[in-house]
Amino acid sequence: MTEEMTYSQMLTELQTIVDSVSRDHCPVDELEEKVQRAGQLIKTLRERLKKTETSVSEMLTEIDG
Amino acid sequence: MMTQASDLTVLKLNQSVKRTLQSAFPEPVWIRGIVTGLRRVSGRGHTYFQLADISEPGEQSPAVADCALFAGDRSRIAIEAGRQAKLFELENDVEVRILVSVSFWDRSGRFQLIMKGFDADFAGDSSAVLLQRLIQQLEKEGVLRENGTFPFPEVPLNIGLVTSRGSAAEKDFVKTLDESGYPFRVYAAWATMQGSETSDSVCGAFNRLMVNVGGSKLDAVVLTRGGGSATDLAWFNNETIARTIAQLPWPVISAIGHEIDTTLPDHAAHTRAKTPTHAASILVDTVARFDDKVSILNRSLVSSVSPRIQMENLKIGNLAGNLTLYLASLPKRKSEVLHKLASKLNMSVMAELHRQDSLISEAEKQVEIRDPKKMLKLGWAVVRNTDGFPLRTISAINEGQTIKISMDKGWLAAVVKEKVND
Repeated sequence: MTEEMTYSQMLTELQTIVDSVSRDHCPVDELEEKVQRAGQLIKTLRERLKKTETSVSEMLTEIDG
Repeated sequence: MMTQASDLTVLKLNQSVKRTLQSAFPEPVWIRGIVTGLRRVSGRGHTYFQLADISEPGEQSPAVADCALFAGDRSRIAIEAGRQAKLFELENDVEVRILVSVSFWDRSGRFQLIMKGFDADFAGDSSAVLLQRLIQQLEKEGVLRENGTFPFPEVPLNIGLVTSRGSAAEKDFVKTLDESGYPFRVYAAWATMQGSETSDSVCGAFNRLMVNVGGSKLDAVVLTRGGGSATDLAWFNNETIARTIAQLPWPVISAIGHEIDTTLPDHAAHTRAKTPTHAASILVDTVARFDDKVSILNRSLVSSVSPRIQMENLKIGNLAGNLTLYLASLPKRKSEVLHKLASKLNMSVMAELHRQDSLISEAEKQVEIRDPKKMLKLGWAVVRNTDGFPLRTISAINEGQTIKISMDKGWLAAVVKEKVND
């Protein structure tokens, strides 16, 4: 499900999880699930940000430049 | 169709046009306009340029006419101006008032204005004033604010690039993105970045991005070229480019020329960058900020979860400790209870026994008191009939009757001789 999400969506979800686990009333059994999900989001975000190579594709139709 | 004797050749037509023009404009006329595309052909010393109307806001492209200033006329005009202590100089983007004769070259069919005089006292609007006027107008219409209303994307990795192919601007831009290590995708739409085609070419490039990449796929678009003369950059002070930028579905970063140069797209774009490299840096910094945000969230997750887990562990530890203590104390507590119960039971049993014992003793005493033997010991005697039935009053006894008299330590049988009533 992480695959189809945009960066911003993932960041928003991550932010929400961090906020909710920071509050004391988060039940411990939910905590594990949430931390796991947060870890997955962070990993995906990092991976997507670290592909390193800039690719350039040219829009060539009707090119005159 | 039949060939007619009256058919014109191109030359004849051109000559006819020339004569018509000459009769319409027999004398040179004063005309005013903006000098553009000024170039001097070396050798003969002729000067060629275009004279353009000042474009009013809303107008697509201003009318232009080709002009020529021949070397002879040029030196004559310069000398005349010199006599009046005025300076004669043609400059791009400056409004001038000049005297021209309208000419038509019959062999090439080309229409041209031949400059014959120059109004040195005419103070036309400079291009800066014109630009300012255009900016004010577009500002009033909201055109310059339109693109700035987009929120700048948090992770701008898919970038449209409008610049000239193989230019230093392109290389600087892509190099800066590449060095960041972030996975930028650049969609390049090449355009002519100076000269009269600039506007059409740049707008065409924006259009290609729209058609080939699509509105939603790009995070931002960069319009950039390197530094150049004011004349080169002035091609961007174009209303059509500004209006096109206002209609684009992505935030545009404009980086045209150097730090000191400001062109109309800088006003119309979402963000103005000083150079192509700076435009790339803005994108890289934005992605880096996002990257940092993820790291901070990661740390904040760890720092908010670890104490929480420690606390829960502590809670569990405390609970476990309490339970152990309780369990350990359980047998002792149990035996204590039993002991208490037992002793309580014991005591009540004893009391009961004691009570019973007292009752028995009391009964025994009562019994003892009433024991006839005791009375007999005191000297009393009991009279019974022969059946053993006690005779308590004298009336129960008859004279001559045999009675049994019980005494201490024995009994005797007697016969009643006499009976006396009290």
